[in-house]
Amino acid sequence: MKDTFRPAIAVFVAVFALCGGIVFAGGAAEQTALPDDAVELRIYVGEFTPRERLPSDRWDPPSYLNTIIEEYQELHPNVRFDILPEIPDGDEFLTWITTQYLAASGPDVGTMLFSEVNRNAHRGWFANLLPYLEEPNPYVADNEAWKDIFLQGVLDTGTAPDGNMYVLPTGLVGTAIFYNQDIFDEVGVQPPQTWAQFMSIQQEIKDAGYIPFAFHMSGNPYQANWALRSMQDMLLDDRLGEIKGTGEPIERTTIEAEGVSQKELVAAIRRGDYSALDPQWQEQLRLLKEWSEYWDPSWIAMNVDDAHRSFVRGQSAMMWHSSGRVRMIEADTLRDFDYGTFSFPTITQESSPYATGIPAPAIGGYTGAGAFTIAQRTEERGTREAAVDFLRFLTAPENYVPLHEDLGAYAPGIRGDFEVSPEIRPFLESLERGTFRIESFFRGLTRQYSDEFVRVLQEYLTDRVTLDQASQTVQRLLDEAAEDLIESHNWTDIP
Amino acid sequence: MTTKRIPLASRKTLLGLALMLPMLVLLFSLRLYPIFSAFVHSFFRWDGFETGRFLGLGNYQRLVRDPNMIQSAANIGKFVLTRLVLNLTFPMMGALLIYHLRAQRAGYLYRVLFMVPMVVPLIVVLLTWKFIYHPYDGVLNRVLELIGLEQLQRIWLGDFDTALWAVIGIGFPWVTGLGISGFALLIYLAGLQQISTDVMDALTVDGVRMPTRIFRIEIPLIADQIKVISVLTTINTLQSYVPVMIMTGGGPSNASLVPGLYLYQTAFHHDRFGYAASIGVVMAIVLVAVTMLTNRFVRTRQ
Amino acid sequence: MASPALRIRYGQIISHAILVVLVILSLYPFAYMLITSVKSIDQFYHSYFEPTLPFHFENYLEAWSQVGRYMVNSLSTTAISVVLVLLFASLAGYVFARYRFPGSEILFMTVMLVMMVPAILNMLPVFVTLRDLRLLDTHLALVVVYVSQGQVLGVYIFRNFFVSIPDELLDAAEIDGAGDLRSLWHVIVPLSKPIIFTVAVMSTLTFWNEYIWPLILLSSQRLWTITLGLVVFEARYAGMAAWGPLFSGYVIASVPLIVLFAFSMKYFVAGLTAGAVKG
Repeated sequence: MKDTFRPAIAVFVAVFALCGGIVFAGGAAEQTALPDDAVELRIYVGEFTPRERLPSDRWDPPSYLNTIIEEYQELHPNVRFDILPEIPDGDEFLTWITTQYLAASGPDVGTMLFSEVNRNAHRGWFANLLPYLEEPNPYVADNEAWKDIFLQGVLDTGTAPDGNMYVLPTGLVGTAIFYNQDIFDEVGVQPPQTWAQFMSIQQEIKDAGYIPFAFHMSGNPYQANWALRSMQDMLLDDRLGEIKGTGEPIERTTIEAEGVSQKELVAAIRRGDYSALDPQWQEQLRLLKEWSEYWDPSWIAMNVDDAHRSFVRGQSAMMWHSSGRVRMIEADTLRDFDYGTFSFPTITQESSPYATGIPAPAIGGYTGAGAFTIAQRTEERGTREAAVDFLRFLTAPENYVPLHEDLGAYAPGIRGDFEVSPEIRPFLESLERGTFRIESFFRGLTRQYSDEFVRVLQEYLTDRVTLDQASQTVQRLLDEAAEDLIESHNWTDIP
Repeated sequence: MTTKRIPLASRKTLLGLALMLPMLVLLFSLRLYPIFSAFVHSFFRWDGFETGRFLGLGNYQRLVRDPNMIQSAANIGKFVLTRLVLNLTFPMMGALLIYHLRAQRAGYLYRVLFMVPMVVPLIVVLLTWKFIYHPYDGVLNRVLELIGLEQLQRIWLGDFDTALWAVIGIGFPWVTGLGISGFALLIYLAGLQQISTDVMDALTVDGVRMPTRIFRIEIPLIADQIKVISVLTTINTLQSYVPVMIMTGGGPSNASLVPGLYLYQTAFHHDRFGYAASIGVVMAIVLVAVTMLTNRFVRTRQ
Repeated sequence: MASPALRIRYGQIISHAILVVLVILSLYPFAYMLITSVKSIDQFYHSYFEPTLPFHFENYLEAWSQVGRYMVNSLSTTAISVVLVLLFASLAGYVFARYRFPGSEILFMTVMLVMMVPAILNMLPVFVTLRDLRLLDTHLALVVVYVSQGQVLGVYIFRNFFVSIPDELLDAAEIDGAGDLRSLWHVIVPLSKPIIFTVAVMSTLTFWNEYIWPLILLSSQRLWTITLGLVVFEARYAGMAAWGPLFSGYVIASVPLIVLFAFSMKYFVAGLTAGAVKG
C-alpha cells in the first residue's frame, strides 16, 4: 500500500505545484518594468473588441481596432495596450463591469451605456470629460474644441443631471423587426402598419404552421422592455406632460434624456400620476399578452441567440433586433431566404381605446457601441493624459468611421462627409420619428424593480395571475422602488 | 498524557498557538468575523458600501412577507425532500445489486462506472443537463419525439410546472447523485461489505428468501450509512443554489428560486446587502438547527 | 417452482440486466457529449444521435483556445489552496489532538461551530472585506478564501485522526530525543498519508467545482477559473449552435479530475467512506 502511495502523492503534488508555479511566474513576468515614460492603457471597447475568426464563427468578427492601435503606437511608442476581452451583453455584464469599478480595476478607457454611467456617476468612478472636450483635438485638422466633431445629440445625451459629462455616447443605433420574405410570400402577407394588421398576419402565419415571432426573455429581458417602451409611449402620449410634472406635452426628439427622467418618474409615482392601477397604464400589458399568443412557445427560456437561430433556420417568421444584428443575419450560413425589415406597428383605435394614432417611437438613439468613459482612477494611475489622447485619436473621423464600417452595426455620431453602410440605413431612418420619451421597467427605476417586474410579467403572460393582480403587484413594486430611490439619492425635495 | 507536560505548559501553549496561527488568522478574519458582521448588518440598511439606517427587525419582517422568500422556502423544501428520497432509493438499489453479484470483477467494474459521473466537474454536469433540456436541440425532447411521445415534450426549464423538477431531476437515473451526496452508492456498498460473512452464510444456509433478507437484515445493518447519507443530503441540498443559478436563474418568475440564489441576487444585483444578510442569518439558523437535530437523531438511534 | 440454484442464476441475470441499464442511463449524457464533441454543425443537425464520420478533432483545438487559460488558472489556484489547507489543517489538527492549554477546548468548539454555519453567510462580509483590502480581482483573494473555507473540515478530520494514534508511539519518539516537530514529521506524517490524501482529494474536488467565489471575486476574464470560463463559453457557443466545440470544451474541463481519480480512487473511496461514517 505504501509503495503506491508515494508515487501517487508525489505526482499529485508535483503536477499541481508545477502548474501553480508556472502561472504565478507568468503572472509576475507580465508586470515587468516599463521605461520611464511608458504607460499601459487597460481598455474595454465592447463590441469593437478585435478578435480572430474562429472556425465556429459564422460571420467575421471586428478587427479594425488593431489597425487603430498600431497607428497610434507608431505615433506614441511608449503607450502599451491591454485590451480586455468582450463580455457578452447579458444579465451578468452589468454585475461584471460594476464589480470591476468596485474593485478599482475598471478599464482606463471603457464603454458603458450612458444611462448606466449617469446612474453610477455619484460613485465617482468616471472622469468628467467636459474640460477635455473644450480643448482642441490634435488629431483633427483645424479643430478648436474636441466637442465640435460630435453631433449635438451625443453631447445632449451624454450630459449627466449634474451638468458634467462622464460619457461620450457616440454610437447611433436603431431597431426594426426582421421578417422572412419567403414565409411572408408563401402565406401571402405584407409587412404591417398597424397593430391590428400585425396581429392578423401573425394569425395567418400561425395557421400556415410557422412560429410567427421569435420573442425572447431569457438572460437579458430587454426585448420586453422595448415592446413596453413602444406601447407605453403610444398609449400614455396624452399623459406624459403630467408625468413629467410640467403639464406641457413632450416633443419626441432623438435625445432620450429629454423625456421623463428617473427623478421625475419617481415624483410622478409619489403623486400618483404614474400608476399601475390606471387602466390606461394596464393597456400595455393587455396588448403584450394578446401578442404573446404568437410568440415561440419557449420564449421564457429563449435568449437572443436562440431567437436568432430560430429565425435564420426558417422556424420563426419574425424577430426584433437592432442594427447590431444586420451583419450577422446577412452573413449567417444557416440562412437560405431573403429578409426584410419593418418598424414596430402603430396602435390604432381599432385595437385600443387609448390609442392616439401616433406611430411607435424609435427604440434607439445614441445608445450603440462606443459610449466611452474614462475612469476616475486614471488620475492616480498616471494614465489620464494617455487615455484622453487615445480617445481623441480614436474619435477622429478618419479612424472612427472605418471602425464603424468594420463592425457594420451602428453609425458614428460624428459630423463629417461619410456614407453609412446601406444595410443599416433603414434602422437610422427610424430615428426620425424620435425616440421613446418614458422608460419602461428596464433602466427606469431600480434593478430590483426591473427583476421583479419581469417576474410579474411572466406570471401574467402565462395566465398565472390576472391583469388586476399583476397591476397591483406592479403598483407595490413602483412604490417600493420610489421609496428606495428617494432614500438612496437623498431626494428630499420629493414629498 | 498531559500531566507530565505541565511544567512546559506555557511553552507548549505558545508553540501550539504558533502552529495554529495561520489557521486561526484565516478562521477569525474570513469565517468568524464575517458571521458576526453579517449578523449585525442584517439589522441595517446596507448597500455594501456604507452602513445606512438602523432598521431593527425591519429586514426580518420584510422577509416573512416577501413572496420570493416564501416561494424559495417552499422550493427548497421540495428540493430537499425529493433529493432525500432519491439518494435513499436509487443508490441503495445499485449498491444492493452490486453487493449480491457473484462475479466480483463485474461488481468492481459497475462500481467504477457509476463513479464516472461523480468525477465529472459539477459545472460540466449542469451545463450538459442544460443542453439535455434545451427546447429544440436538447436530448430529452428529441428522445420523446423518437419514441413517438411528442405530447410529453415540454420547455423543461421555461415552464412553471417543470422548471424546478427539471433541476431536481438532474442526474437521472440518480444512482450517482450530485456533489458530496453523489457518493451514496459507495457508502452503502462499504457498509454492506462490512457485514460479516458468517452472518451471510448463516442466512444462506437457513434459506432466508431474498426480499426478507434485504429488508429485514441487510438494510437494518447499514442503518448508520443511511443516516449519514440523510444528514449529508439534507445539509448540502439546503444550501445549494448553483444548479438553479446555472439552469434557470430561478425562473420562470420565481418558480425555481431557492434561498441561496435569492440572497445572491438581492446582494449583487440589487445592492441590498443588509436584506441579503438577513436571508443568510435565517438560512444559518435553519441549518444549525437541522444539523443539531439530525445529529441527535443519529446518536440516539445508534 | 424452480430449484434454488436456478433461482439464484435467474436472479443474477436480472441483476446484471438492471445494472447494465442503470449504467447506460447514467453514462449516456457523457457518451453523447463525447460523440457530439467531434461533430460539425451540419453533422449535428443531420445525424442527431448517431456518431458520424469524419471526426472533427479540430473542435478540440478550438475549444482549447477558448478554455485553456481558465484550466491553467483553476489548476494553479486549486493546487496552492490544497497545499495550504493540508499544511494549516494538519498543524492545527495536531495541536488540538496533542496539546491541552487554557482555551484549547473553546477554540476547538469554535471550529466545530463554524463548520455548521453555511458558507453563504460569509459571502457578503468577505466580499466587502476583500474589496476594502483592494484584493478583489486577484488570485490571492481566491486562494485565501478557499483555504479559509476548506481548512475547517480539514482540522476536524486531522484532529480525529491524530487522536486515534496511540500515545506510545509519540512517547517513544520523545524518549529518543525527538522534539515535537520532529516527531510530527517522522512518526505522524508517514502514518497519516491516507488521511492527507483524503483531505487533498476532497479539497481538490471542492475547489475545482467552486463557482460562486470566483464569480464574485474575479472580474478580469484572464483570471477566471474553469467554472466561470465554461459558463461564458457555453453562453457564446450554445448561442452559435456550435455544439461540437462546446462539448469538446466540456471534455477538456473534465480531464484533470478524471486523471486525478484514476490515480487515487482506492484511497479516496476508503478515506471517504471511513470518514463519512465516522463523521
